[in-house]
Amino acid sequence: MVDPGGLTEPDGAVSPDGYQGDVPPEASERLSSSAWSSGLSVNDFAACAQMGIRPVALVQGFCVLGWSWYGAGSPYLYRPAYGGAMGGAWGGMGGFRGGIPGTAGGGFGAPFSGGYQGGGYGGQGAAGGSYGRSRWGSTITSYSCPHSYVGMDHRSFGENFEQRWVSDAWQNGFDTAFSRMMQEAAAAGAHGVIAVVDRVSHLIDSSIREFHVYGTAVVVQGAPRPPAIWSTYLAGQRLAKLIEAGFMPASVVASLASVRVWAVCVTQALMAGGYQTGGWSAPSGEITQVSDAQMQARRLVRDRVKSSLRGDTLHGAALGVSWSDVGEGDYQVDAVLRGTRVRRVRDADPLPAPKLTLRLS
Amino acid sequence: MTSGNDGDTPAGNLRDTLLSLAAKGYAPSMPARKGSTSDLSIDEALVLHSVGWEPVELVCGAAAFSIPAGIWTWNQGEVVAASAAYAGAMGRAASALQAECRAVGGHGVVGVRVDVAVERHLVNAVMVGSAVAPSGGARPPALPFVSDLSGRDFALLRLGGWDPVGLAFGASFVNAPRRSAAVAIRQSSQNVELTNYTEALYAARESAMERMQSVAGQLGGQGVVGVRVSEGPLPFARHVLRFAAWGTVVKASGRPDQLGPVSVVVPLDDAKLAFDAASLRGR
Repeated sequence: MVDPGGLTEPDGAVSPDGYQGDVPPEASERLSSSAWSSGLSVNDFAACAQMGIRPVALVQGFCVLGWSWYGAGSPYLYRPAYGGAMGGAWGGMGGFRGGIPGTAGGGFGAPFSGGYQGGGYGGQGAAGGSYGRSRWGSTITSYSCPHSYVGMDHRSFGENFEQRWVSDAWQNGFDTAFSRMMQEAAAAGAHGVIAVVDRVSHLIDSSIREFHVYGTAVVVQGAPRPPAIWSTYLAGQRLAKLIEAGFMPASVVASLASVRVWAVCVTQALMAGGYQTGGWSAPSGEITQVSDAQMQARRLVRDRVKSSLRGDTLHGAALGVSWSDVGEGDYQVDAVLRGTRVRRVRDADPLPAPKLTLRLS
Repeated sequence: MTSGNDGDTPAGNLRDTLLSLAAKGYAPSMPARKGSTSDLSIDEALVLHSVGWEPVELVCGAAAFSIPAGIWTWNQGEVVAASAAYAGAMGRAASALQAECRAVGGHGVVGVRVDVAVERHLVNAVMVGSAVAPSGGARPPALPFVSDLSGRDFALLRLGGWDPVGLAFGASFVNAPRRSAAVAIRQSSQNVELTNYTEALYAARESAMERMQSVAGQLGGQGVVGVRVSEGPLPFARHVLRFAAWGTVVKASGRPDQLGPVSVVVPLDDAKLAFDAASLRGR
């Protein structure tokens, strides 16, 4: 994640004088206009005026990315963990089913190790070992078959894999759009950007994604230009309350984590109601591999965002998660976490304890 | 809210405060600590702060349970395996949430959003909320509470002398009863109660609520507040009706009620036309 800095950290941040010229001529012309624009509601505008915050321009950034998961040239074709299987007897995507992933915990050599016996299957080789790691991602947990059986249609191995190239691509798109918005803000002479909105949508078809980030560039009237332009999803009354509570927004933060479930035989069977085409069955109960993936995606994105906080606090976090059944037990979970990194800049006493009132209107 | 303790900060209004902070380059007022995350709104965070609590970390719990094949054919009575899968998924998700709260040093979780998806062979339960703890850094309990209360509701409950204990839930999946051809024909021309339907739906609702209250009892609570009910037919099996209920289990804390009497107020302002940020200071 590109750290957008904000407030007092100029590292990686756009300084007020940091206009790099990555802004189209139309935008430059608009930003130099005598009239200003803003995305603020009237309420937010009134609240900002009360604080001495004046809008100078609606600023925005765009980035359009090509987007695919498994097509030609997909990183899956180059994953080292499956390289042998892909070129071996299993061949093609079948390599993912019966493939033996080298040094997986338990693995083929010890199919019952941590398998369905005892405490249930799963949890092997958690993010460790030398397999499954590459610049494309890494294995989070691996799962081994309890059946002591190998066959083309039997998934003797499964894993939850973090798809780093997906999250990296998303981050690249978001950071690029965000950076362009901040460059517009710098060109407009802003001190900060408030009421930020970001949208990620498919353009034309699913192979193209557009990242759009926009907000209202503002100046604090009478204040010196800050070392770096700050940004926040908040505006108006909520921004006023945040500052009154002793915090100052530093930067918008957003990230995505993507976890792919390559189902082991038992997961495949349970996702089909307990049976699979090979005739294997599994008792009903928790589908540990899917439960793990749901947790892992959320934890990954939270920890990734936390690593960029520099001791500050993520305020108003919004966690959005989508998942899809890819088929035959396979599964994908994408988690996006966004919020405003805030810093305590002055001490503030707590509010008085609430009192009950009955409102007549 | 009263003004801050910072002697350099004018006690005028937010404009002065902001100018003062900008003049100092928005320098932090305290050394950097371990970063934390929270999905509470600023209002919720402030209300929590007013009763001496603060957010610790964004936490989640999730569980997926399998639903056996062949149970969605139109039979009679409850679809027991589906009810069990639902209860299992909710229970495991709540346990995972509690474990994560404990791991980050939280005393409990507030503002939990419960998201349950029921598919043909799968129940997916996800709970996300903010772990909270008293501001003083007290030692966390062995079993943190889990609740779907907002920060505001949590503060009100505590001031009223109640503590959240945990999340209770109950669910029942029931087949819509079949009618014989003769009964269907006879009832088709009469506006009469379809007693078999009424009884089946009545029983299913009561079962779900009873299960929820049973969980509340197991958690040692005295009651359940903020009960939410989700019901309706399943999209892939229209003859099966789902009833699910969940809420926060509470018990009396033994602390005195600090809320005091209710004051009647007649507001004269129009929030849409007038906003005075200084009013946030409680003046």
